[in-house]
Amino acid sequence: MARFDGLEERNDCLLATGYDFSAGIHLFRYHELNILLDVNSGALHVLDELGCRLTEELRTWDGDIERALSSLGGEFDEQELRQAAAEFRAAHQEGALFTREDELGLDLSGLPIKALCLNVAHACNMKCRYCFASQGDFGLKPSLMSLATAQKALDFLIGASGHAKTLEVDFFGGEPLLNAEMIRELVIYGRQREAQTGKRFNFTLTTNGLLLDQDMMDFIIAHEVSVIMSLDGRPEINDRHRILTSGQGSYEQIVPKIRQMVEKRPASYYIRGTFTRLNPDFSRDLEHIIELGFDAVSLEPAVGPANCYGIQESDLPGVLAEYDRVTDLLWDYQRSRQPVHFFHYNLDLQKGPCLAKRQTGCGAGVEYLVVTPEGDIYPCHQFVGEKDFRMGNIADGVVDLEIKERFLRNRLKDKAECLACWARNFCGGGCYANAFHANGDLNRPDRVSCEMHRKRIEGAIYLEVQKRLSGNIWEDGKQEF
Amino acid sequence: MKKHILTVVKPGLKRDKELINCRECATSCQSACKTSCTVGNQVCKNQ
Repeated sequence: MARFDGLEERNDCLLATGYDFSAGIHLFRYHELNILLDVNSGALHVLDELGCRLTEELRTWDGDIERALSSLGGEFDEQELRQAAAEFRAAHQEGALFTREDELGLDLSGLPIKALCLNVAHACNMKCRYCFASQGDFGLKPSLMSLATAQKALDFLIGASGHAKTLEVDFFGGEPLLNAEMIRELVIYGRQREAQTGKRFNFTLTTNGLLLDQDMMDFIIAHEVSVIMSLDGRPEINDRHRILTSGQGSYEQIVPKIRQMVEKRPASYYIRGTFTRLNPDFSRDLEHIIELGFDAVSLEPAVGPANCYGIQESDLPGVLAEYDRVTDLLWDYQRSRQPVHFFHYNLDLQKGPCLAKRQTGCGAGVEYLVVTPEGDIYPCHQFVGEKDFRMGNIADGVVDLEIKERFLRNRLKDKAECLACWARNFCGGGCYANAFHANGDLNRPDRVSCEMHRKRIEGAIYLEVQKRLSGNIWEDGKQEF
Repeated sequence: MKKHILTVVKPGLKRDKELINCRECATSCQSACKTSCTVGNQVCKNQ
């Protein structure tokens, strides 16, 4: 049996013994393209029909090239098959195909804290029906964060950040602009502390937009605060869930404010929407947001227990098909020279994060913490109020190391399901909160989220491949294909 | 002769070893989504 042994190269062999095809490659077809991802190297290939069939047969025969070629003898010309085998062999030898996993041996114990989410308001001026934060107060006492607590939080972050230069601070809630004056004072304080410490703060404000007035907009611009503004899409979709305390929809009030904010060209912005089971045609909401003139959009699925909002297993066929429409929509915009930054499709295949980052995931509970108005510390905003995850308080600045350890042990290598998944180096292991709330286990990703994630990654890969093929940018030089 | 496999993106993850783990990239999901971390959507500032 001819098989490629990684240590001993033989002319008629191709693959190392025991290669895990399902974890090592991902072959999928989208429209006219057969795309092959080599998971461990990040290489992407486009195959013709013969190349596609050869890959499938190699998988069937566990890497035995001769058997694979033999099984295809009735379908393709012998010379073409040998040519394809030679190309596969060359790609393998270049480390671009059928590559093995690297064991990085990462020591994460000394990772600094470099991001804080400040829940500056456990209160809200809207009553969004699907709110994960119990409509603003997380089921806790409604409150606003004092400047003293916020300053302590910034100082805590500086002290815990080690050598990290760039520190991230989110203003979140509830609706953070209910505490607008404190936010202004804290940003100014933060900029003073930058000058004293050499650190650099990236501030981000997530807001429903209702309290965005000219003064706050000008402040956001002057102090380079990034801004995330919530809008679900079409008026009837947005107003179904994103309602004012009067019970009326918010669309007519917030869209003009969002427009004004974007026209002032903030340091960065995203329009952030949510789609639920009730708007399965969410590509139309994406389209609507783009046609309003916004080119940086994130549309998140509502997740959670079976209710009328969170996407469930039974919704998946429709949702996955809708993501295909999103892919096609984004490609149409790209071709008409109106590129759109759709967050989940932002895949910079050249400048993406390193393997270490990809394998250690989001950083919640380790590098990223959230602070409540009372100064309580949690691993992320989705655990606020869950007493088993309370990690301490800013007042004494001590973080519960046992809880931290639980989140440290959340790398890809700690998750059997992730190690078997081709999308792992793009996903990073998924949202820990989602996993815990779905499965009661931080290390077991939510299956519904995984399915959506894989579909989005396929769409994003397709778009990247198309951009490169269309621009005649590919690595093998100009070749007829 | 036409190619049967066209490499559109060369291997990048393996080469990252020399730049690895500086941790300067964005942390958590705060760049936009707040529900589903998508580490692959981030950009390395070191490249």
